[in-house]
Amino acid sequence: MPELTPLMCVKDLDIRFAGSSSSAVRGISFTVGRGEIVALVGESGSGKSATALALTGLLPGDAQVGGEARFDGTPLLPGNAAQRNAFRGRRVGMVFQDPAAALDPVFTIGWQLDETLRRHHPALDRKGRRDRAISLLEAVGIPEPADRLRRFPNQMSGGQLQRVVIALALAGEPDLLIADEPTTALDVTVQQGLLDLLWRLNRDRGMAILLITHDMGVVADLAQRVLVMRHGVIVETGDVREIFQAPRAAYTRALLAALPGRAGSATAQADISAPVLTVDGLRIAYSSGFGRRNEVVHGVSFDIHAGEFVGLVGESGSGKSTIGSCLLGLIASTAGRITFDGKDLGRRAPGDVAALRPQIGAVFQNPMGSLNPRLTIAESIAEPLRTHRRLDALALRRKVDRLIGNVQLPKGWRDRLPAELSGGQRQRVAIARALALDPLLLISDEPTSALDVSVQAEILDLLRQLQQETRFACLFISHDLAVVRQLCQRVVVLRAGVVVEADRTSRVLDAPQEPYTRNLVASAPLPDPQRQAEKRAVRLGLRREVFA
Amino acid sequence: MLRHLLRRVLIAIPVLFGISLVVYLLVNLQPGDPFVGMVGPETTPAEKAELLRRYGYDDPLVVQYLRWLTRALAGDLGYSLQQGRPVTALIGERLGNTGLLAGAALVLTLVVALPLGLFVGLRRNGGVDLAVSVLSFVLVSVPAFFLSMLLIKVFAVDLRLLPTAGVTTIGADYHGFAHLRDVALHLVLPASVLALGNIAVLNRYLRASVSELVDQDFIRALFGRGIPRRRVIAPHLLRNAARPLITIVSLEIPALLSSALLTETIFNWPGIGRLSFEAVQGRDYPLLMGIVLFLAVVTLACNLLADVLYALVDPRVRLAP
Repeated sequence: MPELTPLMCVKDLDIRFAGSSSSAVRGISFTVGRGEIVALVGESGSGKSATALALTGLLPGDAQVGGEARFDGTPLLPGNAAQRNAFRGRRVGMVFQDPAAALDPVFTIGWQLDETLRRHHPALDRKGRRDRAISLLEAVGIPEPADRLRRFPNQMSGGQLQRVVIALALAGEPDLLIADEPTTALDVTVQQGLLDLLWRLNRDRGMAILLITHDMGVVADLAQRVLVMRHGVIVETGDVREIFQAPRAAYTRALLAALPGRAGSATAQADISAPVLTVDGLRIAYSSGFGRRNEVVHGVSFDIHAGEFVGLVGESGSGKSTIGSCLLGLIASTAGRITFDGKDLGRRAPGDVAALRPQIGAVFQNPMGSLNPRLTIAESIAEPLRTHRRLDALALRRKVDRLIGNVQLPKGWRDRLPAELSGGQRQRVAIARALALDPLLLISDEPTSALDVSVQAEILDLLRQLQQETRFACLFISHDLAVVRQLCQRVVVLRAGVVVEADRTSRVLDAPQEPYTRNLVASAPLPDPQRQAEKRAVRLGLRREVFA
Repeated sequence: MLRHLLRRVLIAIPVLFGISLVVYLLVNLQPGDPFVGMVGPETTPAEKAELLRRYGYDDPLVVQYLRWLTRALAGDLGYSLQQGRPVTALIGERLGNTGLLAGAALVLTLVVALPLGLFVGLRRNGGVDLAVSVLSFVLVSVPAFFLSMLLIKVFAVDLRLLPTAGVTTIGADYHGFAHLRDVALHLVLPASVLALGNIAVLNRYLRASVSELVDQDFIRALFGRGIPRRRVIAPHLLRNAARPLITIVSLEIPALLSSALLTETIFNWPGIGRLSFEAVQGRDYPLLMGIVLFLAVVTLACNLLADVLYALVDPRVRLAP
């Protein structure tokens, strides 16, 4: 392979936000070659997104940017805004994390494509722009492109919207595409299609890609070279296979070790007794106005024993969170039977159901949203105890301190506010609160999805450890199969409100029977570049030699 | 789209009935005798009772309400007890003046608040933003009557630039352009008083929604695609900021009509506001009910208009099931 002349050259890039005493990015240097896919990896707060925004001049005006950046020989940084503006879209395209937020909701897809094409191809007339827009949508794999031009963003799915965002980025035919977490907001099955698309764009058009992600599976799938970033510094650079096989920096090793799937699988035994929770033929419908009802869960059945983690997996919209909310009593069911601790929840007076409520704990995805920002963590944890137990001040204090200790937070932190804690620490507080009343059942809805991988591993360990002590049953709602494999003894696969498969985790994930499950399992990217390349070759029907 | 509108209209009808019922009951259950002024001092109580019976005032309230409602639906709001003329005619006479005043205030509000709100929203925490914020809070806090008097003192008494009362100069016989100029000069002070408070409020709302929008991904994405700044502001920023704007303005129009009371009184402007004040003072129930019902209709019409405009600017409203 001939030596690639760098397309983008970054030297000593330094970014400091207004009001912050230290730099978010501290003097990093790297290059992106022509036609190269470089992954910028790191956890939240490592400065990877700030780097992308600085290169395109999209940082807020009060951020200070130092250092140099050259694109194809022309200086981008330091440079004037007009110069950077001429680069944007035409030489460098941007793709953002949340496609639903990256498109103007009040204009059609066609209008937005036309606007961008008019900017970059002034010579094209209206008809020419329309033709070009259709061919762009075709290129990113949107079916019936002519029809889609008339659609508004809210009429399309997340995966399709991200394809539209990529089409918009392609309108100016850029040499470099900066993709900031392009698949994080999407389901695994959808993610795979988008990664294939990016891979094709790189292969067919020779477009370089700077891929910003926290997901090592995505890195393994797409990247040729990897930059590992931490606390604003690049700690390791190398070829993707080197990084995965022989990581040098301690941080890279920690990052890889923390990946679920590498940390073994669930082994704990469930108690062989009557199940804590039995759900039988559960149906749930939402009211859609004027007396119409829209059923989203169509007769779901499963059970959970004490000391057991049962995974409830499925894509977004499959109804998994709805079931969780129903079990918590936040949504009413329309049919079916829920038996909890031997009592039929549906056949009891509301007062009796309220008496059972303390027996069910809940942990949600975003701890910042589920903790009252004005209460100290001790007050948050004490709240369920104050409501349901009559404890004197001393006993309450002791109990809260024990709970704080159980989730491995320092005792001295009882008077801290959620804002003073990191995401993982907040989730520990949420878990302590959920377990304050020693519940029989814990419902945890994507409790690790908002957390970085290393923190995610800690939280999973904590949950497992706590369960060994108190033997609660846990319904673990997740879209992340690797996490489910690590934690859950059994798994229930949900699709469009119907259970498609339910069995022991190892059986379902290693030998899926249903096509849907098989697709779900195959879609999850493995943190192994070789295997990902092989999977893609099989999927796209490519010849093996390409990867030899 | 059509279904959306139809639904809004269908909702408006029962609301209007509800308002008419509440208004009727409120006005009729008030203590006090409105007929003191109607009959001469020499009328005996027996004669008065006979009069009331003849005009249907002894009938059950429901019957009275239904009678009033059927007439109101036909456009007959009854006669003013004080002036003895049809309520519709009285409202009609004053409507032009109030419409002129409210319209001028609205135009002034929009002309000043829109560019200003956009500007400070785009340059948050700058010098202009700070100055406008302080001024806005001052304007919102100062009562309209005080502001009126201040403006009268400065512009009419001290500087002698503007007239202080009425629609036209009394005794002058202007025609054509001179008449228009005379009315315009009379309009300046009351319209400014009405507009200033609204400018302050609208400016705050627009600043908030613009500064929120600027941080949105899609605006950043537009810049990222190389779309020039002015093309990002119009149409993207403006159209997205339009919805809250429509809400505020549609609420402001009926508020301008009814809250003009103080301003109309101070500037001696013969509009709906002063008419309603007179109606309350004279216990002129039919007139009062007519005015309240009229304002309710205007409010509903503005809401309906806002719904139409929402659907025009935002496809999410238009396409909602």
